[in-house]
Amino acid sequence: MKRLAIISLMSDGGCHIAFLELHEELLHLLGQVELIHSYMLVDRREIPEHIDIALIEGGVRTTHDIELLKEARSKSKILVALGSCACFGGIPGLSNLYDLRASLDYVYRGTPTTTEGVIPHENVPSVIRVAPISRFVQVDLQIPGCPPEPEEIKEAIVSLIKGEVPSQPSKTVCDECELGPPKEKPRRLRKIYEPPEPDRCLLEQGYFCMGPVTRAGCGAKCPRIGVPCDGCSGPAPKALDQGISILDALVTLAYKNIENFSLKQHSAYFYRYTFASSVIEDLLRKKLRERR
Amino acid sequence: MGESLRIGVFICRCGTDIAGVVDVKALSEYARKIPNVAYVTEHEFLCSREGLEVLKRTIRRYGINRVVIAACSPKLHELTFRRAIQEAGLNPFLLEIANIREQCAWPHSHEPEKATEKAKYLVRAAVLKVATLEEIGEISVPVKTSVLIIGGGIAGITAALKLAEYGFQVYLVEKNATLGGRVLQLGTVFPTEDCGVCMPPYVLERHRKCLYKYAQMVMVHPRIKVFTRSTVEHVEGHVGNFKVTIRRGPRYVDEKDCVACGVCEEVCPVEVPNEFDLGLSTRKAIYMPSPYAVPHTYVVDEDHCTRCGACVKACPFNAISLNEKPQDVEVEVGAIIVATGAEEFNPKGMYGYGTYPDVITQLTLARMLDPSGPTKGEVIRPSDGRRPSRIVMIQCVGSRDPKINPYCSKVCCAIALKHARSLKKRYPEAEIAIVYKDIRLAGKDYEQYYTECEELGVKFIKGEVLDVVQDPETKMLRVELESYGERKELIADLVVLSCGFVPSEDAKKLAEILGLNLAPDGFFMTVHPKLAPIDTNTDGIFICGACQGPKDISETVTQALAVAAKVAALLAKGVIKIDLAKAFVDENYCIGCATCVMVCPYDAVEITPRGVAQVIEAACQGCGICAAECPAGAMQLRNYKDDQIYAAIRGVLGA
Repeated sequence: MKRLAIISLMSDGGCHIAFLELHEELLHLLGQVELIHSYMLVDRREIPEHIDIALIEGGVRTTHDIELLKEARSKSKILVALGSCACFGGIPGLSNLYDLRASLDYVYRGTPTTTEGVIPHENVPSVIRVAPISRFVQVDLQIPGCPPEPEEIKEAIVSLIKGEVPSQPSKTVCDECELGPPKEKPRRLRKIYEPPEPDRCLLEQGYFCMGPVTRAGCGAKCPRIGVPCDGCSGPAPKALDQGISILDALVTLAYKNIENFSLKQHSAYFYRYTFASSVIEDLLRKKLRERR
Repeated sequence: MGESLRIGVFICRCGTDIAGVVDVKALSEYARKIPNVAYVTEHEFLCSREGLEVLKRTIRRYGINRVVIAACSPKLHELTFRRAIQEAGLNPFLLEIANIREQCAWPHSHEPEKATEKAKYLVRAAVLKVATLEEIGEISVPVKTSVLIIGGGIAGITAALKLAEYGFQVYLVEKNATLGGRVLQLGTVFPTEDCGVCMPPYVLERHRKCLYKYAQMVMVHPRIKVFTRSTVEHVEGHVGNFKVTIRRGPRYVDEKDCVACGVCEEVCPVEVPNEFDLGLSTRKAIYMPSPYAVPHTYVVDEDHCTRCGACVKACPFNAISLNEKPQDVEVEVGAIIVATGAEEFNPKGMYGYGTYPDVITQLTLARMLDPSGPTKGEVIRPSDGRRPSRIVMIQCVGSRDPKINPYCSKVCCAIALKHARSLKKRYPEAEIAIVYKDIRLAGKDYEQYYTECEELGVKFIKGEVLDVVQDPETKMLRVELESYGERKELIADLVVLSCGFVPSEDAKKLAEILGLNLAPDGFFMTVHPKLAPIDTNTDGIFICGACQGPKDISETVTQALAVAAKVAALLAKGVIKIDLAKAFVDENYCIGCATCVMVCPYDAVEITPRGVAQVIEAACQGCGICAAECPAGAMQLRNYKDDQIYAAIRGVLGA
């Protein structure tokens, strides 16, 4: 029986829960693989040897994460990035917009509820800029999403057990969305609290929907109920960079057309999950390296 | 691809243009060390016949299957080199050009080492990219052998007759009621001083033929269909297969039944200024647009007609119907020629034009000088009908002025001198002065005007006119000017403004319909002012004549003949070959968001019923905007795919 391990780095455990969301199907799955490591289900601290499939949950935030990651890689045949933190750095990646020192200072000393806080420095691994795991090890498969779809996790594991390459969606959320893709250009941008018209593409209505540039696979859950896609599954498989893609799409849609479009105001949406793996991050890292 | 890569790098010294700055020897040494490079050679002039032979021979002898040429800009010789490698047996698209002249030798001539360094990067980028290129084939597309010509002036008529002679079906669309355009109004035209309507036969036959006859020939030609009072409303499709909607405005008088007897005109109670004579005469609401109107039938001015019906009753042939409505006609054509011409700049508010009736433009003067015009060739002051004795012409009105039109219209000087000469010959006692910034009379036939005018006593005053004011008592005009730093004053009883050309007012709308670019000055833009003067950015659409810039008649006719030849060459075979260096869609990734449809300047992408984008290869120009904008990365441009561009970037970065 194949040996499956789930290894957690910087994460809130949501992807782990997504795996457990399989409910009774999990029992079928466990008939085919042996779960040998999972901090939620298996009482074992060390990463075991001879892993067939390692699911890595969470991105890299500390030197400890790097060590764990490299150990996992050396002990496993197939390494899977599970969830958008592992794939792209996830939401924590947005902290890369700020200086590392300043962030630590704010978190440990500057927050309103802290009095005389101290930045921990003894017996703790040092904190580094948030990074996707692919920056340190070779990744064999990505299952993005925040959280990823339980069904996709299961199918991926089943395929990997059989030795097949899992089939993954190639298109973007618009393709799965019954409202999209946008057929006409929006006239103005709407705020998220304004009620949307039913049965009409959200981007067309002026909501900031990441559907056109976000990898499909989720079934367009959010736009279907009137919530604009926030891009949790990262860029389309062939796209270079999610933020650049949406900017391209918006330039087409918004240029001289939308009245109140402001690049500055909306830029936080562009990279909500993928800043740590963006082209801009590459440039920032290069700059930091040069400064040192 | 089974065979291994054998890349040949050919470095051109371009005499000293490249070799004088870039260390070509060091560059070839460097190129030899790049992986997959099988052969490197230098040549003095690679684009020369001998250079191309070397290129072909080397490719064959050393089994080279990819070619990098380090030379000048691909804009110059990409096509030359493509043909050459094709003759050597390679697919013409397995070529990459490193521009080491315009991008290295020329701009960095003061720092040769850095120029050489940059040339190395560019060559490495080209080698890395050429390794990823794919063979690109071509397809044949059947074309319609008919042509749409927009504009029935001298340019449109010339092109129409020539194309019809070649055997093509021509649709000629003219917005006015008569063919002939601006030339009909001109009286005499330089350099041969024949009458505007009796143009000498540059075009068709050896004996003299006038434009009037031309226009009539157009009307009766079996392969030319004329739409007067008509506009082009909508165009779709692409080179070889355009669908055009023509809105045919009503003439209210049946062309076939009208014999131009003029009875209707007599009974018509409405009288308005005649625009053909720029208000020097009047006409009725039912009128003949010009004495030389073609078709030679009456037409109703719908803006002024009171619908009284007098003409309908009076017409002996029942040719008039005031209920006619505009009609949309659809035609299919293989090519479109834009020949919409230009207009005289309206100098309203300048030098008293519009305020004082005796300040006129050269076009008005031309109407007066026309022996069959409203004054029968007599020049008069519009205010009192008397013959003027002191005439001042002001040059460069609305031209060469950065605030109005920065360009020189280049024909106004010749027009002024032609008119000055005619005036002086007819009225030797009249004093004529021309106030000019520079007299521009380029071309072999024009200098004689200057010498003759000087001999006849026309005064030339170099200076700038500050203002023209009327003396309230004598009603004489005072022309205030500054000449060589001195203020001067001329007294005139007629002031003639030599106005430049401006684009026709409909140019903008037409450009939108056809998807053409306008230059900042408002004229239609050509692909290249010297080497492609009649081509536009859209294949199958051509421009000729004054719609792309001020021109005299001979230039216009030359262009019209060129355009006819170009269109004939394009459509003569009945099919056109299109290479597939175009955008294409990977349907597995396309979500049908239509971003590509919205950004495409050529309407070359459509969404199929299956919900994915599809590129119309005959219309695609390979600009790559769609590939850059596609949010899903599904649209790619052949040989400019993402990984191919990354390869070039890696080459530049040395990564």
